[in-house]
Amino acid sequence: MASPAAAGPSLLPTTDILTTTNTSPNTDAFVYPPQYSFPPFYTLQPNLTTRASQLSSWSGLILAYAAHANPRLYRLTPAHSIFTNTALRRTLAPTDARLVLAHMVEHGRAAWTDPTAATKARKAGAGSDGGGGEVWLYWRTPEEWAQQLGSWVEATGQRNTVLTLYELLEGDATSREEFHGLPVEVAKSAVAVLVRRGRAQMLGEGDGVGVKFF
Amino acid sequence: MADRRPGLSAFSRNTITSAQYASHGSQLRSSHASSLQTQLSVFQSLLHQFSVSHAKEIRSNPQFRNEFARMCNAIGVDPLLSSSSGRRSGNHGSEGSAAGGSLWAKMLGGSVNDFYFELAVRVVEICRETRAENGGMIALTEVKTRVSKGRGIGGSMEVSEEDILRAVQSLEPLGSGFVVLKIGSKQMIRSVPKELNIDQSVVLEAMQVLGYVAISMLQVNLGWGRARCVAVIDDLISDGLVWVDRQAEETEYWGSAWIGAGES
Repeated sequence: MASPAAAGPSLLPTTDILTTTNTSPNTDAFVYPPQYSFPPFYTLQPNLTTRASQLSSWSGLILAYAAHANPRLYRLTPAHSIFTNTALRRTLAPTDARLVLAHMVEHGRAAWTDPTAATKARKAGAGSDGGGGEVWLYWRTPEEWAQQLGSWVEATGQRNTVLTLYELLEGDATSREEFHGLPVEVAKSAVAVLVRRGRAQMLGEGDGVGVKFF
Repeated sequence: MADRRPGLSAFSRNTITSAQYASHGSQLRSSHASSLQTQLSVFQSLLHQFSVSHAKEIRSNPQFRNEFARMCNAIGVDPLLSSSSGRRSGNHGSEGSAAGGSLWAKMLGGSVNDFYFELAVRVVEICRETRAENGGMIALTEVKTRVSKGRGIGGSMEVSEEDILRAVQSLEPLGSGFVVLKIGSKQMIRSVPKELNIDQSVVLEAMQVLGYVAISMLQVNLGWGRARCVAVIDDLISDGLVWVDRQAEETEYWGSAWIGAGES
């Protein structure tokens, strides 16, 4: 599973956290950033500058944690245990956690699993916590996944071959790749990037979706 | 009559002797000065040799660097003095300082100056990166851990707190507004040019004891009225210097400058 998890410079302002914790996933214990043991981190801050920094610290923490977890974490709800620090007896309230996730979606580091529910919830007003709120975590952005898929296809000489998504994500041939085990939904958004660049084509519908790389 | 003769010639004799004294004095002074100058130049060249041959150690070993800087300080040499600066002319003779100032910088510049300027750049970076989080005030110890963790091209730097203080001082001519404050027992670097009033300093100092304060704590320990406590806290929050924790029994206010400082 060892992979050069290069936390690129695109990883939000809190790159420090990511570069220090991300170098060797799944081997060392996860090192929480210092904010994790800072009690006010679990209360939404009234000062807007401070709050912006708080949200991006949360985002960095979540992405680093998700990439480090074993098995890796691909989806997250506002009620996830990462938002609770039992030692401090502090929890980021689900409404606040939702703001964190919204911040991540805004910055391209996550996507709502159910976009329609998310927009509905927003229309219903900020106060309601009606459904939605679950996100796909992009600790690799779809662009980065797309790049990995592309170079794997290139390296294995499978251009112009039709591969099913299942083969790509669950097949033995890719078991050493980082994208192995990637949820289909995330993989689709990565393939969509390649399609937009004219480097791939999606074939078929439903579970048997195939991809052809050029 | 008898007392007039020596009186008249005494004038010329006095001038002669005082002239002789003066010339002798100036002779002594000049020989003294030249011997000092020789000593100084010998010392200069030795210091130069020393700084060149130990340049690597000066850069890599914080303790060694510290001793070196202290030695330079003791003899009135500022390793950070830039070549254009003539501020230290008061310490030397007028002639020596103009040439001497740049000479020192040239001698030591290669290793020592660059080191501190590099470090200063890192310190500025760290202050800017963390400004949203801590309102532009960061503990010196935190800066130190962040610098030594390092990242990027230069890799990590092994530095002492004195190094960082010196680096911050080297920013002074730029008028950049980086100030080292002492709050209670901790030294903080303030990168946002704003004065703290006395009440704010007192509250920040009180925060060091437990890492946080609550309104009732301030009332009891400082004997302030509630309104005064609330006002100070509100000011600190709006400056981004304090984070709020509403999940404690009574709302607690934590100093943001100590987020990472508690562990080091």
